[in-house]
Amino acid sequence: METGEFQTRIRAAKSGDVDAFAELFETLRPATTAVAYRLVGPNDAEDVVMDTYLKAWKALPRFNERSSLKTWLYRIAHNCAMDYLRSRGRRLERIMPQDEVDDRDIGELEDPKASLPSAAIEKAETVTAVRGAMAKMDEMHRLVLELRFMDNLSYADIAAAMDVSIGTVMSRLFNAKRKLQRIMREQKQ
Amino acid sequence: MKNMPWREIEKTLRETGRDDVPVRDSDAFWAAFKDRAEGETRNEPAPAPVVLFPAWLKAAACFAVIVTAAALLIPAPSNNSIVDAELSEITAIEVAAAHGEITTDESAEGTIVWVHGLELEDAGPNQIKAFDVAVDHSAVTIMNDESTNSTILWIHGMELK
Repeated sequence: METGEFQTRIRAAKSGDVDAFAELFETLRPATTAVAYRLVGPNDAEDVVMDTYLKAWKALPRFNERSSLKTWLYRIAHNCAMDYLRSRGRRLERIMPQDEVDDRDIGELEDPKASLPSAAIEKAETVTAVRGAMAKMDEMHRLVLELRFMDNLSYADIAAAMDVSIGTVMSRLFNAKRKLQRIMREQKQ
Repeated sequence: MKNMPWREIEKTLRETGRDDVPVRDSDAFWAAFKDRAEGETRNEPAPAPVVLFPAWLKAAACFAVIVTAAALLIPAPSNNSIVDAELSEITAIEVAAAHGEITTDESAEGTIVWVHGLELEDAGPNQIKAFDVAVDHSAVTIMNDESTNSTILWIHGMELK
């Protein structure tokens, strides 16, 4: 969106044009959903996104444009997620999605790698190893890796989503990378 | 499987992306949003403050604040500059290439120096050529973040009082 168009829409949204608000914020919804998903888990993410957008709608007239709209929205998403967890007496911990239970007889199961070429097998093994290692990470470090590499957020946006400083994001990222590599080494042994 | 380099792990994470995050249908989301937003009270911009004080009183108050602040900023004599160092524990830094800016952060278990936007063609762990630190520390790590074209110098366990 070009600057002039952005300014027109934000002015309209600030003065109460809900369609302008929707046009402005729709592009940010997948990333906001990802942030909420990472913070509260799959079951509650949509509720947190809705709360975030309602709060953003109410607060937009006072948005001073000192930070980017995206960073501002992620900060709201963080606050909503924390409110959500508090209201349910939960802490920041996410249940990793489980694979569906396969109730077929063992004889019916085929080797999923049997029909794959060797490069694809290696790729599948890498993905499995990385996912397995991610599942063993503590929440704080897993979250920063997910936001950075899976959701492609900038340091500033991660800082807003996690409510920490940019330096802390860097420190956590560094530790998370080392931890993930260590877990993968241990998995291999 | 051999030990996997970080580059490969990062590539796998990036490729995985947010495939696992389901995003609600746009029309359904905005219809629900509009239903709920309708009638919500919004935080309107604060009205301009009423002028209670004349300009000359404001100028006098500003002058008083400046004089007081200047008096407070004059450092007390000290025999130990390191104890007073606080944010200046890194006393010198030499970087191999042109860069955008340098920022520091002291809140993350040590001091992090972040050199942004290095213009090196061949990024390696040698962009920071030399640095001096004012106090003892337990370890130093230099890392590169190719995605932001930055080098991070992390000084662990600085023991500043």
